[in-house]
Amino acid sequence: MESENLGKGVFNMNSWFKIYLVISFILFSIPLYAQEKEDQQQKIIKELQIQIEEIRKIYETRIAELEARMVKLDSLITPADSLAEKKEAGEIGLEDIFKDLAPAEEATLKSAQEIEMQNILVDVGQYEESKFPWFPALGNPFLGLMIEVPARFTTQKGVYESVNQIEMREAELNIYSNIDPFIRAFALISGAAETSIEEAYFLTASLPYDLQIRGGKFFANLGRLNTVHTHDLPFVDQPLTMQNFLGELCIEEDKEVLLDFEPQYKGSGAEILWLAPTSIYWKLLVGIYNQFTDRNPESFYAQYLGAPEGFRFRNRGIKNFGYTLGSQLFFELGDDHSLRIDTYGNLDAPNHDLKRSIEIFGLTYRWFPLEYGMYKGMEWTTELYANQERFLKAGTNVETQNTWGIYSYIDYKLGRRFSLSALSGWSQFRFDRDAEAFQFGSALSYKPSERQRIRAQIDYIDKQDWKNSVSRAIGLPTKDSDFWQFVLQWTVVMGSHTHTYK
Amino acid sequence: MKLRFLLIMGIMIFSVNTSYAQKIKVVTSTPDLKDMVENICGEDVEVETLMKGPENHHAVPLKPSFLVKLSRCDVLVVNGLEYEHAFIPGALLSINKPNIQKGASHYIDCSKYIKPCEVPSQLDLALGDLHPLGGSHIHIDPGNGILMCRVIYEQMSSIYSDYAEKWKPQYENYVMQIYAKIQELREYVKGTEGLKLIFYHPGWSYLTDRFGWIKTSYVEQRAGIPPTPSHIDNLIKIIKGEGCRLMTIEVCYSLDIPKYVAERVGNVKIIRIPHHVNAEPECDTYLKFIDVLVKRIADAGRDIMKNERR
Repeated sequence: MESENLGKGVFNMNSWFKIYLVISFILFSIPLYAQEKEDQQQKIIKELQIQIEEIRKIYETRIAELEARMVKLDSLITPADSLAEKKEAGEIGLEDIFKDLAPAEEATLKSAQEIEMQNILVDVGQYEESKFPWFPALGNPFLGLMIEVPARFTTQKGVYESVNQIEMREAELNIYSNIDPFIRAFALISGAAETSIEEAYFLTASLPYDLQIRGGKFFANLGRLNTVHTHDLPFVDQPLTMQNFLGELCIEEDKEVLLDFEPQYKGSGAEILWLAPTSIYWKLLVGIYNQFTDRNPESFYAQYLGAPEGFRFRNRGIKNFGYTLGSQLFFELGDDHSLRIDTYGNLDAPNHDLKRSIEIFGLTYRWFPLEYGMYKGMEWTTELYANQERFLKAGTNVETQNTWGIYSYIDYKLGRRFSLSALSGWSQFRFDRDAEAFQFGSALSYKPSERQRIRAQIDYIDKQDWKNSVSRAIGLPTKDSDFWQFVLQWTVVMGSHTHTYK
Repeated sequence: MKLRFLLIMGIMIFSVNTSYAQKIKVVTSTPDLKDMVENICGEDVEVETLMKGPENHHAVPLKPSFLVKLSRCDVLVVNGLEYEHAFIPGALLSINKPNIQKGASHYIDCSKYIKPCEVPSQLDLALGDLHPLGGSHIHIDPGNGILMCRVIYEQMSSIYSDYAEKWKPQYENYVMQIYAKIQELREYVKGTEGLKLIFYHPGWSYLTDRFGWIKTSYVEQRAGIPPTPSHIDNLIKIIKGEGCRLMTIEVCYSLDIPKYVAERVGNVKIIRIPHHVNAEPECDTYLKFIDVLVKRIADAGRDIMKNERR
């Protein structure tokens, strides 16, 4: 029993000793662990210090670089001469500048691709005028289509009621292209009920001494408005005076004469144009055409007024072609004002009894204020026509008839979208100097954009004398009638439409 | 015999002298380009500009005098990106000069290194037809001005290689002057960053991007399309919504609509800004033009910001 107790006591002592040992070990080992932990922390701290030092060095270097750059940039604000000196000293270069303009430099790379694309577009015939750069067909010409729809209402009383009408007067297809480095070609195909080729010609592009030659069929350089297409006029129709002297008379007859004109002169032939070597614009031209205006077998001229025996309307030979001499002078009168003087003379069939000559003198004054050119502007044009013509009146001999005519218009820009024009004209009938016609009118044009225009025009027209003259020639009764005309015109342009100077 | 010899010699000497004295005739489309060419090529060139400065480039009439200048010139320098659509294409079609036609050897297009801003997402005439290749008013950013000078120098030196070395320091000096102006203006506009602006005609992102301003909207509906009543109503809503207080209107545009808009919104300031060299008398060089343009906007913006803080 006692031994058991003793044994227990010994056991207990051993246990306590073990506990003591364990506790001692623990107590002894704590400072060792702490020491080890401290060493590790020291190590981390040292590493961090090293990292901080490295980062500090990096940042100090970067800061130093930035400061140096700032100093350089600051120095750029100093006058350019000293900058140039610094440039010479090698302190700053253009590359530094291009680098500093980083967005622009980036753009350089991107735009390089765009330029390549532009070159491709040019190669396939897409020039600056084209609005369809995606158009893929190689070598195709530029195309534009103009559509013009006028609605006419008149007080004209007659047997024909067709004078009040809404019509598509013209759909005009413009085609032009560079053919090669030496010539360009233009064509204008227009029509409504019937289609006709109004113009088709080539124009040289690289002759020396500012010479240009154009050949084919075209609106001849004769008068201020003859080369201007109808839809570009500041009013709906060409002036009566111009139609009388440059147009082709068209007559329909049944119970009364309907008198109309093909309003412009389309010459088949060639023109040589020369820009004189002067400081002002002075263009001189020589034209040679197969025939002039309505002297053809189907015309009123041939049918009603007759022609002497042996007169050939076509294939007349070079001695009896139509010839034109012209001069266009342009003066700039300061920044806002200019004056253009046009002078033309045309001789048709000069070596024949039926020769015709016409002289035209025109003045155009333009005011376009530099600052407000988009909102204000004015053009005033006056043109005087003199015509000497020989023809056979029925049953009479050859006689020379001198006729005159004049017209004048003002086109005033009221604002960015609106313009107001006024036109007046008087003319003796080319075939009968005793018959006179007179007109005046005014038009208000509205342009919602560059590509469409709506116009309202009102005119007073008195050309009954002309009609009566024709009626007398063909044996129809005459009458007395003048009339007012109101026209609403809508013009739109599709596609490419670039104008040369006219 | 002696007389004939003397005559021939005289003619030869005279012709040699005149050939040396002859300057390179350069025609530029805008007065800004004229100033750049004169600064880069100096006394070796005689430069004429077709546009005068106050004009709106979309409404420059094709004058016959342009044809005379173009027919007589050696080099044509244009802005590019269809900027001159109103007068250059028609003029080039009217004259006999193959080497200055678009893309030809003596036709210098200064937009070569420019990345266009405000490029239409699709080419459709319903979107307006005046900026089909993006904003063409590239010269309003002096950074672009430097790139335009680079094109002028590179192309002119390529055409007239004998002059390249002579022109190089002039070119570098001029670029540095423009760059110095940029630095000066960057400093000047500090404090106006984030200024919201309304311009009249599209294409001003070049300037606002450069100087940290915000182009809020335009008075014109689209480039070349005058504002319609519904667009004006929309513009008023945008200005009110964005809190824009400054309308910067180019001198070539009418103030009628901006004034109407400003009255409807209230508390909106309108200032006139030059859009080209010589658009105003004090802008007779490119550097002065840029200076007047940026400082005028910055000054007006600072005043507005100051008043708002009060």
